[in-house]
Amino acid sequence: MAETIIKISNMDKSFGVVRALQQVNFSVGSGEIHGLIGENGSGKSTVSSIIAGMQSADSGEMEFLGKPYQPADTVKATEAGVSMVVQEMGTISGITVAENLFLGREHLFCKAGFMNVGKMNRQAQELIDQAGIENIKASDLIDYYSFEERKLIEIVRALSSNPRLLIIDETTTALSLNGRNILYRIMKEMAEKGNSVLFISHDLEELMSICNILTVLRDGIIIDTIPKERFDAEDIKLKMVGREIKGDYYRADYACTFDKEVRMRMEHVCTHVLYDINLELHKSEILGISGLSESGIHDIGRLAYGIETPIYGKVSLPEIGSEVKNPLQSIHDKIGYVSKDRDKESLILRDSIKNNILINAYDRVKSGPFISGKKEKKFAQEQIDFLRIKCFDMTQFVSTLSGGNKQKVAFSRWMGVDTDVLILDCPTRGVDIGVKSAMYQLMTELKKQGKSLLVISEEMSELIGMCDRILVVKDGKINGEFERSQDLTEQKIIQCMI
Amino acid sequence: MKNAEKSHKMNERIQELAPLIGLIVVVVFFQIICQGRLLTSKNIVVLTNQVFYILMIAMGAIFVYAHGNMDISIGGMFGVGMLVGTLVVNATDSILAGLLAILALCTVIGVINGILQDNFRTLPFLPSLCMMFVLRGILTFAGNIKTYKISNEYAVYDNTILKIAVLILCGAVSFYLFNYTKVGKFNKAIGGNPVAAAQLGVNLTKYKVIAFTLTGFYTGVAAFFSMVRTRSVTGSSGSGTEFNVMIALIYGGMSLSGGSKSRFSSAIYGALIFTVLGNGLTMSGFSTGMVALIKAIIFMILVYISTERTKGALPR
Repeated sequence: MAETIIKISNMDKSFGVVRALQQVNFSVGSGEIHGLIGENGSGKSTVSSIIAGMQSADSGEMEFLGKPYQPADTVKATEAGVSMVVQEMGTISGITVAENLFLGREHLFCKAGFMNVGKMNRQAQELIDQAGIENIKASDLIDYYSFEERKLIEIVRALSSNPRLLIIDETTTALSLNGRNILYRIMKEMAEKGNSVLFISHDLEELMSICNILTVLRDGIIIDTIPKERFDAEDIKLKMVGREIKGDYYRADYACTFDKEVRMRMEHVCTHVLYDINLELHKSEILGISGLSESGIHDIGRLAYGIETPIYGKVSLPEIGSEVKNPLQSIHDKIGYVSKDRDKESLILRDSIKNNILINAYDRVKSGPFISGKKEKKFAQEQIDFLRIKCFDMTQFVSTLSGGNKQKVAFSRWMGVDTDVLILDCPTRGVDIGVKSAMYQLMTELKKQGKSLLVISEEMSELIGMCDRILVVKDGKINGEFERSQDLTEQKIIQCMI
Repeated sequence: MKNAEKSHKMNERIQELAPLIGLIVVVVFFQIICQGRLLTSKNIVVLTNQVFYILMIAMGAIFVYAHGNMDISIGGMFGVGMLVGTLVVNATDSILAGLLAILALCTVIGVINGILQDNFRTLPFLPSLCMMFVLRGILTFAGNIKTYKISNEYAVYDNTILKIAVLILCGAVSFYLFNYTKVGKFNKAIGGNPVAAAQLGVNLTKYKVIAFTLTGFYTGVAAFFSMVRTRSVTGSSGSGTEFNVMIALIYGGMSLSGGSKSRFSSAIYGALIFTVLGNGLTMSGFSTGMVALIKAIIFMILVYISTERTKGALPR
């Protein structure tokens, strides 16, 4: 039996009323590439961030190399030997690659108050070369490099402290095939040296080919830990979701159906990131936009709602003969928008559920010149009931809700007012499976009512499951279009977007 | 679940009631310390006259504070309003013309503040700071020439009953706008999250300009009554008023970052606490300097308590 690197016992963690982790027990041995899989909101990122010292558990113990381990922050965790590469961008722009690599450890190169920049650059370059990454110069500003290259730099940074445990959290979606191969090689080298890797990914195929052991999480509970010999895709999927994924989860039909009328049209739209975008959104259509996060997919949503305006070209609404100019006009023209970044852009966290729901609907709750408190409450309660928002009181702050319920609040604003076009940017990001399923049902229902939905998502399975057509964006251009069919696979879309 | 609900309700109540409790404590404390001299009928008239200016301006300024900003030009507006009012009254012999001139001037300055606010993409309070320097400059320049006076016959307008009536009228308008119209709701939303508010169709420029305009108008009303009371204007008229208003609002429970917790009652409780505190300390024999110092210390403590502190580096 190999040495145990980290052992977690009886870990619990709650966010408000949501129990993110319940009695989690698992351990990672040396030489292991340990995969962690589960749906969004199943607790994968929570476990890994606790191990990396970003937050602490409510209860439970951790043992690292046989000793009790309770990191106060990421710096302490790194000192102990745990490094993590996070899902979101973790580099700082405006400084060099080398400075990013040694962020917080500059004192290593300091003598008498002066920093030896040359030494730092040389050492950084060595690390990059060791990792087998080409074409990155340590002395360059990080801004010269693409999203993918920055991700690789982050990985080098994580390795630079010689960790015993490396945590990789959903990094591969940002990497091309070449980048992935570099990462896989790094992971294998770690394992061969007797260290271990905790690898978190959505991609089951990837996990099954790289890992030698897999732990399945669902709703904060460990369902199973499976060694490589027993890997079976169908079995793992079933364990992740807890039931067959077919049936009511996604749309049941496989027909590409929509009316002929064009609700929204983009003609030759160009911005700083998009180039010559042409698209038509029809009545009663769910149109998907797929692509890497940095490809410009989110900008299409912002254009469609008027948060951004094109430098060239136009976004028009042929039915009412209007053009999309700004959010105020868009709301008037019955367009709704749910932002990808709900905490920063769509919700007022430190305000009540009621006020968040009502912000675009005050004109509907007036009695003469007064906004009526009674009507406000009635309106908000209708939306809370309709979407089954889990809360004890409508005056409760939105910040106290779980991700899924926050998203429901963001959705609810467009249910009470009459919208024809609904733009959803990553509608199920960080939402648990129950809410997800409810969202999909709602989307199908809205389609039946003749509404048009523009769904932007990084999750291909959801687009394949829900959309009539999918447009694939690559480097700011539309690179392909797929119609709904049973034969459409993620592989086909991936080939088109990378 | 039940416990979370209870503690949520509790917190709400405490936050709502804290300024009122503060007011009662201050009143009772000074009533005892000053051996009953705080609440004599004579002193109540004094208190009313003192509280009038702060309360009047605060009822306009809450809109600006609700969207997470402050107006530093209030004192300048107050002084220049008095100056222009005095000049107009002397030129026309009409108090009504003076009143209209003050209101028009302060309202226009408010509009300009709002527009500057929208065009200067900088620290939010800077535009009104620039405006303060301009107004103070005008006032100092004019004050160096001579002291401006109006005839003592206008003292008839310095009437406590009239002031109370005006307070109630202006208060009712402000209360209505703050709680029952989009002006209040949207300014609070902007204070909560301007990006989200803009995405949901709130016209940021419009509602910020309205907030500054209301502040200007209410400052104008206060400046008129100050003019008929003192009947003379010097270079230092109105100086410091903006900070008195700010301190009063903080006493009343207003958060400097604005948002959903902003309440109309902050203006009333805050102005009363501020005035009673000053009046009580003076009656207890403290010098003006000491009074200012004590007020400042209380202010510091309240800012410390009311500022939200987050701990930890990376929320997830």
